[in-house]
Amino acid sequence: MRKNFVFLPVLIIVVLIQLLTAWTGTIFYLTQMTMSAYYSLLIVGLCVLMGYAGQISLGHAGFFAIGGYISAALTTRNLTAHVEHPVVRLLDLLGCLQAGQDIYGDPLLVVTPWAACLLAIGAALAVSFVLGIPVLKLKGHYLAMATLGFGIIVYRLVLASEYFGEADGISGVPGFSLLPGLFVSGDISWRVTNYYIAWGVLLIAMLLLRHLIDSRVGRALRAIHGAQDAADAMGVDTARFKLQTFMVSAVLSALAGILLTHYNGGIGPSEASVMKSVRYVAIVAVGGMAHLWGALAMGMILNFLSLRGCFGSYDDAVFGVILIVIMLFAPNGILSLRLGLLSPLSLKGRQFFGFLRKKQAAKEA
Amino acid sequence: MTLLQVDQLGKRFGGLQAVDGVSFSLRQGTIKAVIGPNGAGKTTLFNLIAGMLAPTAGEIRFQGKAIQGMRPFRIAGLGIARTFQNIKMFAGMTALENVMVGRHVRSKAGFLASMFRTSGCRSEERAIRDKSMELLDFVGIADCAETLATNLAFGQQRAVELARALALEPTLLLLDEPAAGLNIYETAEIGRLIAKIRDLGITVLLVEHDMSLVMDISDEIVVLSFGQKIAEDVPTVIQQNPEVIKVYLGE
Repeated sequence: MRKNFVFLPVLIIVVLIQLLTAWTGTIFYLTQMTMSAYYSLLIVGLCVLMGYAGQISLGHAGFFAIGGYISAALTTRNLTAHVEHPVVRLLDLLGCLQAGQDIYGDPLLVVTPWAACLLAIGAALAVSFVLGIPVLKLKGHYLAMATLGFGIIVYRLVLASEYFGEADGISGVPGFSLLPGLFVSGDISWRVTNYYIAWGVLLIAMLLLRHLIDSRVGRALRAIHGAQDAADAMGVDTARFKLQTFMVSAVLSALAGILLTHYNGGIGPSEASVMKSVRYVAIVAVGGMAHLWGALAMGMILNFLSLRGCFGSYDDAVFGVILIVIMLFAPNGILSLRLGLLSPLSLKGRQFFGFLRKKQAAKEA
Repeated sequence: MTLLQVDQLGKRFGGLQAVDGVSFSLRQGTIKAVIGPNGAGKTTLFNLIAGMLAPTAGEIRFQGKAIQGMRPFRIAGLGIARTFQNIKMFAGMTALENVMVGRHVRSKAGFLASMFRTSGCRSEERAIRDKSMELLDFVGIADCAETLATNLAFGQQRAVELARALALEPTLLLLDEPAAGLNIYETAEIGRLIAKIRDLGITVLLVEHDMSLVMDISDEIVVLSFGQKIAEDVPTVIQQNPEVIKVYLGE
């Protein structure tokens, strides 16, 4: 497909940024770029749900937290005292446990990152399935409120549960060896590798989502968004397609949570907060709802600026303002503003400036 | 052979009996029209057959199978396609893509196959595209394939909707006022198209206001008034039926 040609320039930009930071001695920027890439993974998933399937979710930080917290808890909570428990024995039989020593030299028995990752994704799938069946019957702001409720539940659960570290969250999460040589870890020696791992995961997800959109399934989703009763009359099982899209986006959110938690070495309750969900929705809106690359670009830029502290303590307020401004002036996203109009090089720009010159000349005459 | 059998069908909305004990049958390969003044219950009857509404009484049998109360997407899966009175294009999609959605029940690529673009998925996609182009050609607007459907002229949108319904390879095609909003030339054109569709072996049931179109193309006509069937016969007999004339022209 010709749309896939976008991948090459993006790949070149990704490599150029890395080389640039290496030459200018600003390699520390890659840390925030890596984190932004993981947040963008969630955002492109949300973009397919919102922009293509037309379903809003104000609870995606909840899925991010389900991924991050389950994987963090399983890879840090010591199971030594529960060795005889049938579940622990089963995990051991399946080779999902690894033994070691904690910082005091005591024996430590935890779940391996791969097993924890799969369990966390499984949990996100199960939760999105159970939540999606009743909730996706709702439309518009009713759906927004129901998903908001889900986000609040997850937030309060992780905040209240001792297992999930209450207000402190979970720290000391080990690195995650995806494949030999691909180690997800915040350790400085792995910084460049992690930058490429994050982009690799993100671009693979983009490729899969682009394929999805350009397929029978993607057409059915856009049809549901365009005219649901006509889609229904064409034999599209609208409930099933909405549910499956919801699950795909939930899995991408959970995966983002898992990888970012291993990268950061921990996760805190703020990752599950409703403000995070609102931020993700705002970024998808700025990117242009049904525009995957727009969502990706905005996800990278806004998260990067936020993580660099450019918005200071007004961080959440900035995203609120962005949401209002976008809804008022560019409900189809920032790319729809046709910034080319301002460029004297574009045809429209030439027409526009020509018009201005004529007006000016008329005035002078 | 009877394709569709409607038996004592009723639909009540609160105190309003919109469709009241209507029965008729539809033979395979024919065109049947449902006519009647505004508020006679034509569109309700239509929505009952298409599954958009569930009847409060009676039965609808398609190929001998009871379908009343089934969800619309399941009814479409059985081979019943429909168009809408107020055209419903899929916004943001080209004419071709609109028709390609019509191939939905005749193809099967799911989420995983689509994401990983398996070879089966790719060849299915080519087949969908070819068949859809063929249908756009059949309705005479192949040159508009890449235009956004909502940007097309009204008559062209009607044609896209027809091609989209045909893409389902229906056994039964339900047309809800296919001539609404069309001028006399476009109406004549759509009439020729409907006859052509019947010649493909597709059975057609239509609701229509335009009498010239109905009299031209229908094999049989059902007349509704206040939710009840008052007549059913061939066009020439219906034209002479005193009760029908009374309903349409008053006494």
